[in-house]
Amino acid sequence: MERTVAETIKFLSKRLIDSNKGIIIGQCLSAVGWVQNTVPAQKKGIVELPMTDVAGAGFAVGASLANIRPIFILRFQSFLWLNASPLINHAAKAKEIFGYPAPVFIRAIASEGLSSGPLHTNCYHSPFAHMPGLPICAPMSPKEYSSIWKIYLKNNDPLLVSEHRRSYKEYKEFNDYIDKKSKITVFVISACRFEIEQTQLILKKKKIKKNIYNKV
Amino acid sequence: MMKEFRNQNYNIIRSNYSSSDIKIIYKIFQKMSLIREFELQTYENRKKNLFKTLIYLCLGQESIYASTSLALPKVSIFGQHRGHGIYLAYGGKPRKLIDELIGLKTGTNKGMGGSPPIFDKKIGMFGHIGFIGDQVPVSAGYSLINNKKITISFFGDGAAEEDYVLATFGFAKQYNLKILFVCDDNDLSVLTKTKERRKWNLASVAKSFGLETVDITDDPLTIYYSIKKLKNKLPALINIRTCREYWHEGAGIDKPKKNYWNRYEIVRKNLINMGFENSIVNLENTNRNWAKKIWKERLQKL
Repeated sequence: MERTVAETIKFLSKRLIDSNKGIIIGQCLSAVGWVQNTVPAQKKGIVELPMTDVAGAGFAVGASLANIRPIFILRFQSFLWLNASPLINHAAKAKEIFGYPAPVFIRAIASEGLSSGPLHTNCYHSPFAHMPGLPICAPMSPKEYSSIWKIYLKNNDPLLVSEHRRSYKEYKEFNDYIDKKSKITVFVISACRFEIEQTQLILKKKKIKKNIYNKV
Repeated sequence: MMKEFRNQNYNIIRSNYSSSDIKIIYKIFQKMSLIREFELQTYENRKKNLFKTLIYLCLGQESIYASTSLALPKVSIFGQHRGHGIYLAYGGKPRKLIDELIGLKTGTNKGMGGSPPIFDKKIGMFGHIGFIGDQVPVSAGYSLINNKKITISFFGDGAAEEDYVLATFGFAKQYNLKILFVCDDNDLSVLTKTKERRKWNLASVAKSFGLETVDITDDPLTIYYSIKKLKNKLPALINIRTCREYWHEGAGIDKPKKNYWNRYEIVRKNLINMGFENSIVNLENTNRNWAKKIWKERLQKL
C-alpha cells in the first residue's frame, strides 16, 4: 500500500517500538495531531519530555547508550540550537572518543508559512553538516525516508534528519534530470524540491538547458 | 538566603564506632590510600613536565569515591573531568589511566583527552565529553532504559548550577529513575566560591524537585551509610562537602582556605588512634611503591 511521508515515518517508528528496540522521545508528542500524524498514537514506547531543551537531548543521547534506538523529535528545527550540545559533543563524538556508539535518530522538523518566517522555518543542513560524526539527510519522499531509515539501522551512528512539514502529505518520488547539453546544474534540497517543476518551466521558457540533482 | 554550612563534621553520623564500622572504615581507607598515592605520583610527574595533557587531580576528595564504590559496587557510572578517583575506586586499570594521561594510544581513550574522558565499560563507567554536567542528563537517559541496575551520576557544585542538571532532577522524579546523583561539593568552581555564584542550596533545590536528599561532610562512614539508606529511595541526591587540595587543573597546590580540612589525614589519624598504625604505614608504603613503579614503567613508553 502506498504511504505518504508522514505515514511512512509513523509506520517505521511503530515497527521499531513494537520490536522493543527503540523509543520515541520528545516534547508534546501526544499533543493535538501526534506531531503532524508522524507518531503512533499509543503510550508504549513514547517518552514525553519536560520542556527542557539541552537536557532533553541529553536524555535521548543517554538512552542511545543503553542499546536501544531512540527517535528524538524536535518539533521545530530551530530548537536544534538549544539541543545541539549533547548531540554534537556527546552522540557525534562517542564512537571516536569512547569507542561505543550513540545511535540517536534526530527528527528536526522544519516548516513554512503562518508568518513564522524569522522564527521557526529555518533549515540547518549547512552548519550541522560541519560537525564530524553526525551524518545529515533531508528525505522528502516515502522511498527516500525508508532508504535513510535502512541506512540508520544498518549502522550505529547518530543521524540528523532534516524533515519538512511540507513533505508529510506527499506520495511523490523525485527523479534527477540530466541534459548533456546543459548550461547549468541545479542542486535542490528539502522543501525547495517541491518547487523544482516550477523552476524547470521558468528555465525552459528562457531556453536555458539544465541538470537537476536531488540532494537527500 | 540559604546559609551554607561547611565543616568537617557537618551532619556526620557518629564518631563512636562499632567493630563493623571500623572494618568498613578500614576498607574505605585502603581505597583512599590507593587513589591518593596514584594521584601524588601524577602530581609529581606532571610537575616535572614529564607529560603535558589536561589533568584534574582529586586529592582531598578520595573518601567520596572510595566510600561510594564500597556502598554501591555494581552500578553504571557517569563521572566528569575530576574522575581518577571514580575510575580507580571502581576497579579501572591504573596503567590504562596513566597511558591516557601521558597521551599513549593504549590509554582509555587512545591518549586523546587526558583526564576528562576516561572511562571503562568493563567497570560500567561511561566517558565524559568535557562540559561540566553534560553527563547528568545523559546518565538519566541511560537510567530510563537500563532500569535494572542503579546508575550513579557524579558531578561538582559548579556543574550543579547548569540548567540541564537541575532539569534532570525533575525528569528523574517524573520517571522514578533508579539513579543516585552525587555532588562532590568542594565549594569551588575553578577558584570561585559557591557563595559568590548562587544563593540557593543544592540539597534543598533537589528536594523541591521531589528527590530524596542528604547533605553531609565527606566522612567515609557517613557517606557509606547515607548511600545504603538512599539506595532504596531512588531517585536521590547526596551532596558531599569536601575540600579540593590541589589546583583545579594541572600540578599545583591551592593556598590554604578558611574552613579547610584534610579528610585523608583525619581518617588516617582516627585509624592510628584505633591501633592500626602498623597496617596503615605498610599499606601506604605498598601503595606508594606500586604507584611509583607503574608510573615509571609507563613513562618509559613515551
